[in-house]
Amino acid sequence: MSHRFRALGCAVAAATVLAACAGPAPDDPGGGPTVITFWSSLRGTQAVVDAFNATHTDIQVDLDMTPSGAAGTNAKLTNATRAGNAPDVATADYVSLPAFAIDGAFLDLTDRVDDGFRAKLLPQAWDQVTFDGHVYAVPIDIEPQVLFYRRDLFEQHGIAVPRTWAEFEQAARDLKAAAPDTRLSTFFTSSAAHLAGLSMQVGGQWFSTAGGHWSLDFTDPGTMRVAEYWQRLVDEDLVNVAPINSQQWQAGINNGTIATYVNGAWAAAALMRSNPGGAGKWAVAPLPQWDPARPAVGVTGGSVFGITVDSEHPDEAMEFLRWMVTDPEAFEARLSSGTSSMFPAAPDLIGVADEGFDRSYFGGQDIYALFRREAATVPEGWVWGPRMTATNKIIEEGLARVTYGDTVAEALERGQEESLPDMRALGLAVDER
Amino acid sequence: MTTTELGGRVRRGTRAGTIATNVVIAAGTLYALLPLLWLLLAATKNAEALFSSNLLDVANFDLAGNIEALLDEDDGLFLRWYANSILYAVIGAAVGALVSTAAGYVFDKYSFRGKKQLYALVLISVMIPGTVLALPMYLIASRLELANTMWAVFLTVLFNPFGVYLARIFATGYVPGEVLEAARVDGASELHIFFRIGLRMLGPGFVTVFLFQLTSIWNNFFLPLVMLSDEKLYPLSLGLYSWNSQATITPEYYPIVIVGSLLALIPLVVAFLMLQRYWRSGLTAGSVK
Repeated sequence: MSHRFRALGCAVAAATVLAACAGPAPDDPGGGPTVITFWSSLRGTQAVVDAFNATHTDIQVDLDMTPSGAAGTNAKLTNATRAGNAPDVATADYVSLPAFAIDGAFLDLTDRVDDGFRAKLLPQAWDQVTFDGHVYAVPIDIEPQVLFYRRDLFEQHGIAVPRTWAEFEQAARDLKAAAPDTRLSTFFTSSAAHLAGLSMQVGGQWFSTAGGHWSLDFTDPGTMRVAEYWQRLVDEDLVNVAPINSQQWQAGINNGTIATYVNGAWAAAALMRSNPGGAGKWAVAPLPQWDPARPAVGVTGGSVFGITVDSEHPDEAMEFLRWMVTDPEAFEARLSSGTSSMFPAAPDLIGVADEGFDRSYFGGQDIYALFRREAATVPEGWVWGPRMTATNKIIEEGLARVTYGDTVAEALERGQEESLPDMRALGLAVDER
Repeated sequence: MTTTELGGRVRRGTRAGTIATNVVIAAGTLYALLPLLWLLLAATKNAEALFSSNLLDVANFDLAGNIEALLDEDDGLFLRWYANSILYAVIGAAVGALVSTAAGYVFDKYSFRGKKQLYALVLISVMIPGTVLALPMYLIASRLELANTMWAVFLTVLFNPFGVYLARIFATGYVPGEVLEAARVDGASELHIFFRIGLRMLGPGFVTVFLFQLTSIWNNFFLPLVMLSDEKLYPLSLGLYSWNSQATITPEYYPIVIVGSLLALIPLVVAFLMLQRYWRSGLTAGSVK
C-alpha cells in the first residue's frame, strides 16, 4: 500500500512529483541559521517556538497560527500544497492525516525515525501515523477516551461508577428514576469521532488497508453493537441527545442535569474552564468496558506534525519535531500559556504534564496515572479513511436525524455508502466488506 | 351569497389580510433581531453565566471584564484585526466604488466597440460567487508572490461587477445626456466632465455601491482565509473565526468571540447611519418630477 500511497502522491500534481518522488533535496550550506516555517492551530505553540528559538542557534522556527479544523489549517494546507508554497512543518489531526499522505502533501518520514526516537513515543501513537509500515507524521499526544463523572451526584443518588457498559445502562436507569430531570450522559449527534472511538474500543475497523487496497466496513459486529446500545439508550430516553459543545449540552453540564461526559483526556482542561463552578464535583473514571477481562479503549482527538513535500529543510524540520514532542522544555513551554490536559505521546513527559496540571478541580485525583493506564489499552490497527472529514460529515448528518427517528446504524450505513464514490474518485481500489 | 355578505367578507378579509401581513412582518423582524438581541445579552455575561444560558440574569453582568479579556488576548491582536478590517473595507470600498461608478458611467454614456459583449461579461460575473474564485485567485497571487500580504486581500476586492451594474442604472437615471453635451460644447475634457459633473450627480449611486462594498469586504471571509497565514494580517472576520475554532478546546474564547462580534458590528452601523441621508435621497430622487 505504501507504493499506492506514494504513487498517488506522485499523481496529484506535477509540481509535487519532483519533490515527492525524488527524495529529500540536498541542503545548501549557507551562512546563518536555517529558517523553518511552521503552521499550527494549537494554542500555546508560540511559547514552544520561542523556547526552541532561544535554545537553538542553527535552526530558527517561524510560526504562523492558523485556524483549526477542516475549514482552517486543512483547507489552507491543501491549497498551499497546490500552489507550491506550503510551510516546512504543519499540524494536522490523526483523522485527516491519511488524506494528506495520499494527496502527497506530507513527506514519508520512515527513514528519519530512528529506533531511539521510536522508543520515546507510545507504540499506539506511532501506529496511528503509520500506513503499511510507512510513517507520515510525528504524534505529540494520544487521547484515550475517559469518563468524566459528577462524583457528588453519584454519591447523592447512591450510584456506583460503572465499570462495564451493562452497568452504565443500569446506572442510567437508576439515575433517571432517582432524579427525573437528570440524565447520565449525552449521545453526541455532531461527533462521528466519538462514535469512531467507541467503535475502536470494541474492535471495530471502519477502514482497512490490508492486502494493498482499501476496504471499508462501518457495520462490523462490534460497531453495530455500539450503535444498537446507544440507540436503545436514546429510544428509552436514558440519555440526552445533543450536539457536543452546544449551548444546550453545556448548560446541562453546568446546571448539573448531565452526570457524565465521554471524551479524550484533553477535555479535562476544557471542562475546568467551561464549568469553573464544577470544581471538586467532577472526577475521572476509565471508560466502561464491554469485556473487563480484555480492556480496550478508543481515542478522540490528538494532534500530529507532518513535514510537507515542499520543505527544503526536512532534516532540520525533523530535528525541530523531535525536540517538540520529546523535550521536557518544549512541553513545559506548551503548558506555560494556560491549563492543558493534553496527554503526551512520550511517556517520559507525563511527569512534566502532571506537574503543570492543577489537580484540585478533580479533587486531587491523579488523573495522569489513569490516562497512562488507559492509553496503554488503545488497540492497534485502526485506520482513518482517506477522506475522513467528508465521511464524518455524512455520518453526522445521519446522527443529527436520530432525534427524528433515524437510527445510528442507518447513519453509519449511509456514511459507508457515500464514502465509496469519493474513494473511487481518488483512484483507490476499494471493496466493501 | 348576497353582495352585502360578499362586501362584508371582503372587508373582513382585508382585516384578516392586515393581521396576516403584520404577523408575517413581525415574524420577519423577530427573525432578524433575535440573534442581535442574543448577541447583546450574551456579550454582557461572564463565561459561567453564558454556559448556563442564564441570559436574562442581570446578576452576572460583566461587559467590562469581557472587553478587557478581549483586548488582552494575544497581546491586543483584536485591535490590530480591527485596524486591518477598517483599512481593507474603507479603502477597498472607496476605490472599488469609484471604479464601479466610472465603469457604469462609461457603459451608459459612451458607445464603443465590444460594449455589449463586455457588459454581458460583467453581468455573467455577477452570477459567480466569490468563494468559487478564491482558489484561482490564490494560485495567481502565489505566482505573483502576493499571497500572505495585504495586497492579496486588497487587490481582489476592487472589482465588483454588481457595483458596475448598479452604477450603470444610476447613471441612466441621474446624469442627463444634455448636461454632458453642454459641457462638451464649453470645451471640457471627458475626464473633467466625469469628475466635475458626472461623479457629483452620481453621489447617491456612489454611496450605495460604497455601502454594498463596505459590507461585503467587512464580512469577507473565505478569500482572506485562503490568502493569509500570518495572523497579524487577518481581518476581524477571520480572526474571530480563528479564535472560535479554538473554543472547543479552550472555552475561554467563547465570551471573547461574542464580545468581539458585537464590537465588529459597530463600524457597519455607523457607516449606515452616517450615509443614510445620501442613500435615501438617492433611492427616491427623480421618482417625482
